[in-house]
Amino acid sequence: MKKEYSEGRIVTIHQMLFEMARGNFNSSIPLSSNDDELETLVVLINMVSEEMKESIFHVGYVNNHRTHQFISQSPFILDDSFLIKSFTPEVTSFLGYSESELIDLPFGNIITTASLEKLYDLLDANISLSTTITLNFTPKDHLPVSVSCTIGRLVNRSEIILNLIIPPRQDSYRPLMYEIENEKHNKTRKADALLIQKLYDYILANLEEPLPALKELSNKFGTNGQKLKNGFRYFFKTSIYKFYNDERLKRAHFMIEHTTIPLKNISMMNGFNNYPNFSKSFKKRFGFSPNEMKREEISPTILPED
Amino acid sequence: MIAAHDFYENDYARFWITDSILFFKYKPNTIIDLKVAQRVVTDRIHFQNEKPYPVLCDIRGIIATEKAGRDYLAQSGSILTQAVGLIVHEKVLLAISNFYVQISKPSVPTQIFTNEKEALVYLKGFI
Repeated sequence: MKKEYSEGRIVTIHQMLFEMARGNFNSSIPLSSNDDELETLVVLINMVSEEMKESIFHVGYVNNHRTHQFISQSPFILDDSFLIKSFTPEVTSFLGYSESELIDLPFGNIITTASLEKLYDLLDANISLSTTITLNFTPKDHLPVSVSCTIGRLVNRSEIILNLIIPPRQDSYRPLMYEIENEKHNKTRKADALLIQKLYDYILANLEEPLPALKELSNKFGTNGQKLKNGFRYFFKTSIYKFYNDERLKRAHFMIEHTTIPLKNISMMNGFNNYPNFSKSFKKRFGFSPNEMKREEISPTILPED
Repeated sequence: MIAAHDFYENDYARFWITDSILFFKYKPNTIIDLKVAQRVVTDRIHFQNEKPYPVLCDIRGIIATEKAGRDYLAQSGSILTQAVGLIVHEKVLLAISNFYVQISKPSVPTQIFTNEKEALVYLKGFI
């Protein structure tokens, strides 16, 4: 069935996309009463814009009119039977294989068959100078990636050297501002943002339980405690425990204000092992004890049906 | 079997409890901003009075949402809920609710349904 979209709706979408490119995330595309694919795009663009405004560009957005360069050179060394003998460490994060998996692995296992044939052909031609070739790599758990390589022989040795120009992984976005803001954290890897976001979401989803020990958390997220601790502070400017504690106290405050649940139960429902701990922590955070809070009168509005 | 004996209504929604499931239905043309989100969450919590329920949330009355409202529902909206089944009927709402589940990340199990029966089967697993 042919769908006709009114031109006006397309124009407003274009306008919004241009506004976003300029750094204006405050606009939104007017909604229509249609329930079609175009309208789903409209609401998604509007919501993405809101999320970007609050999460990525909340301190403002400057278009520096440059494209980030993430290109890095990563060599592989292969022996004359095409077994992988060595490589630089970036290769592991690019391909998703561990170092031990790669060493002595036939090179043909990490590129497509067509690419391997291309490589054989090139080497049969007995090249002396390094030559450029595009190979399709098959990273673990990811779609094949096409990579430009230079290939050549090492002087005075039988090995082959393959230089990859590695493109950035699409899921490793990191806003530029963090780099400017804090030079010493430049080491923090791009992938850490994703990890720390997972931790953040995990804490919010588990406020009713006591916070697991750092060691347990790091096992859960497959990393080490130091990385979680530093990463969390780096992205959220507070410690893991303080964030957890603040959030559960806010939640408890909300429950005291809006329910008639006994204070002792509220303390348990927010991960506190005992009431005195809760009361002390609460007072420290809000300046008054839980039992000093005025509680709303409850359920005057429930109407019996008959 | 418990009949629907309690019923509550405010400007944005109606809710009642039947067979240990809380039925929550937004009124037509509702826009979820922070104010609306706070109102419906606090009213629902008052209504429940301490007891958590799985919630069948009929959002077919929603026409738009704002980030602050979505975030509030995803966090504070989970208090005293065991699970949420969202009922949607059109493409736009499906896009909005998918976005809510994946990006706002509600802190209780939340699934999207296009029919009430399936949602109830899912929610009964939480009673």
